[in-house]
Amino acid sequence: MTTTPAITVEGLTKDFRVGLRGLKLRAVDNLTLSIPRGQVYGLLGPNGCGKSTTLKIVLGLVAPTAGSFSLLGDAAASAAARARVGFLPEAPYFHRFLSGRELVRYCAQLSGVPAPAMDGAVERALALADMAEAGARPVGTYSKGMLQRIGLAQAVVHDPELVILDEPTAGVDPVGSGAIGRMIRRMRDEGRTVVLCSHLLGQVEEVCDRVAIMDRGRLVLEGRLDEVLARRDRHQITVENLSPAAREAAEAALAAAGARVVGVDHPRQSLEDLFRRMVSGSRD
Amino acid sequence: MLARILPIARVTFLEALRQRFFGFLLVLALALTLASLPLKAIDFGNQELKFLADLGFGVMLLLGSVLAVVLPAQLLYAELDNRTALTLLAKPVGRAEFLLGKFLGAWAVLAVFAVAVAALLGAILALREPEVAARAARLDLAPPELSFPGLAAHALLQVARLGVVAALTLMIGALARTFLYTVVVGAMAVLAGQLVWIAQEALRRPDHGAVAKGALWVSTHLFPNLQAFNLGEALVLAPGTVEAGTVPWLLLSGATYLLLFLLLGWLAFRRREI
Amino acid sequence: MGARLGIVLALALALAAGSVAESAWSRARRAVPELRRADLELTAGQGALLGVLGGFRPLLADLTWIRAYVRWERRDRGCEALLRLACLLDPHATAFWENRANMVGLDMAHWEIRARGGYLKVSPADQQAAFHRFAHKALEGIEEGVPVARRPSALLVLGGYLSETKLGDPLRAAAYYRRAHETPPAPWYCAYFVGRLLKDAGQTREAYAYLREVWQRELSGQRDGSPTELAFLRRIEAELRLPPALRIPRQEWEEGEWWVR
Repeated sequence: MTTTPAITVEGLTKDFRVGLRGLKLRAVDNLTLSIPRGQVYGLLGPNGCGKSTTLKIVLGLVAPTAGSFSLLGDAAASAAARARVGFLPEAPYFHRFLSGRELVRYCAQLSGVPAPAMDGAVERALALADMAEAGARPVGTYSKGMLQRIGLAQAVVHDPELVILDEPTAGVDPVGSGAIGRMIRRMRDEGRTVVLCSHLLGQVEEVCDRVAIMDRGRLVLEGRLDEVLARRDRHQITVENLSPAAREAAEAALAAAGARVVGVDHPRQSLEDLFRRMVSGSRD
Repeated sequence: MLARILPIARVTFLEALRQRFFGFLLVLALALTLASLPLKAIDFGNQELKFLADLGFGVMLLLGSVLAVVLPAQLLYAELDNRTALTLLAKPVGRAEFLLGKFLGAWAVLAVFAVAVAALLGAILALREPEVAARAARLDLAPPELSFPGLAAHALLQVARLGVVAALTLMIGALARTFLYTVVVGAMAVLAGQLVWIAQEALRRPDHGAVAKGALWVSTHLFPNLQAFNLGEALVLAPGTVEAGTVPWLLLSGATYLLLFLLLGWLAFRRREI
Repeated sequence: MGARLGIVLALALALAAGSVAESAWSRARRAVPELRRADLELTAGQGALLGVLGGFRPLLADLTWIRAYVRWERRDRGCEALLRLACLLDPHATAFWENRANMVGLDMAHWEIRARGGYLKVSPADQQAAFHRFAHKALEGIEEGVPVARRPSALLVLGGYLSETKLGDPLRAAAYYRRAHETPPAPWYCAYFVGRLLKDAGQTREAYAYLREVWQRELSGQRDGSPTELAFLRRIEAELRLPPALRIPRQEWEEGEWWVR
């Protein structure tokens, strides 16, 4: 297996000219980044921080103002490199009159899937996205979640090495979002590299191995998720059946050992976990 | 390359066929062509066939031009504005392949339009010709001339003309930023193409200075002479008056302009930010 | 393909496209009616200049002609300008020229006489003058149409008819039929009419010389031997008492003095 990073960008800068007077707007500012293979990589940041622009540059859809990049070792985002990449853009829109199956077949043709393997590839991608049953319906009748899932199916139909997902769960309910999360994990288990671009931190935390945080076009943090989240100066002990007396004794023992108890609290489950448990079994 | 161009062309064709604008213009064109039938109530003699044919040719020219400007612009901007182009161009699809696919899909729809109007016109002419011929024989007038191969040749020329206009519109669309701008400039370019024959005629006259001659030469090379494709009346009603080789030369001329506009369109589109 | 190669290719294609378009137009323009400045001024007045220049000439000509036709049915002299416009917009359409000459040469004099009180009130001399005036106008239109119409022979035949019936001028009529005969596809009777009209004008020898030459060159070889023309020639031979040696040699199918019948 090659050790070349899936994506590298070096000193990448992108300026847009806006308005009649051509005012310069810097979307990406001297970004240097390397995305390793075989991981789920989260590219985080608020709206307008330059995530999507970076991905578009890497895919050859937008030309950089300065800097360089490589996609699967290719410095020009050539067709050969793009053939090994699957891409789901933010808020995807597809031809409404095509059925889901026709859309995935169309994308498979464009991605160079050979004719004898076509039917199998289309059905596999639909199954992966849990869209096999709805595949005969026109895309125009799909819900937001189904659109995202059919978008995912078209992105992976040609069995790509690298899958780039731009806000794949935007506007999707937690159940659909969970399904997409599971699909992402499955792709990682199959050895693909997944770049997940999102501002939904909970989801990123669930599936990503590594994250980069961007703000105003710049990289502000990058590293393994467990490393960047860990606070080495604090500790958490979770216990059950703690009586008030035992709690007081524990606090006294910790104080005697020179530790300072900052707070004692009941752990909360997330609303997302609660919602998922309450509505499990419901689909789109 | 074809493996990617043809699916894009097919989806573009299906999308265009479903557009209300195309349906409306096609129905309007067929209705206007049919509307010529009541003219038989006026006693035109042999002229009746000319009136029927002229109306059909006029409909093909006017509504065909409108369709050839609006449809490719609409199909291109639907992809760009709805961001389906983002999905397609992130795949191993070249900009040239994308543009060519859009063009072929749009051209196929325009061909359906031209052939449908020509077929209806042919049916109307075939329906009326025996009666007009019988009346001419009764009145000892010259029999009406009517050439169905000429009508087929005219339909072919119209398909070529619409292809040139569609390629011209796509080239403008590749350069422009908005649909409206593309349509307005496209319509003006088509009008210029309809008037290029004046420059071509002027270029033949020796009474121009070097500057005027240069300007005329540039304009006649940049814009196709769309008027040259309007030979319907001669081809259908007076087939003997069209010089042999005219239709192939016009088709060749259309093909060169078509390639030129597609090439310029690709040059403009290859660096466009999606 | 790189951008530089694309630009070079585009320049080469532009050059080729211009040259091919020039060749194509030089062939196509013969089938497209020529438009003169005077015509443009006329159509500009109708607010249709762009349509005319832009390829809608035949359709605009048809619509103009329908308007003219409606006015003609109402016996409105205003139709004359519209008829002229229709002819200028689509000069290849023989029927426009033909109908225009018919309407002007045959109808308008009657409209004028009726407008002036009718045939009993207008003196024969004035009636004659009106017929002449409108016939001359129609002939002017015919002369305008002959070089541009697709079937000029039809116009020349009409010129002959108007000259004979409205102007009472057999020599002028004969000249028209002669031109018609020389402009294919002319009707079969043109040469015969030339002979008949020259004879009516007292030019019997000229009539005989012309028709004999045409008969021998073109008509005698036809399947039926063109008996109408030969009968006419035989009557002139008898009238001029030509010696047998100067007459047309007897045809195999001729029996007795068949032409007298």
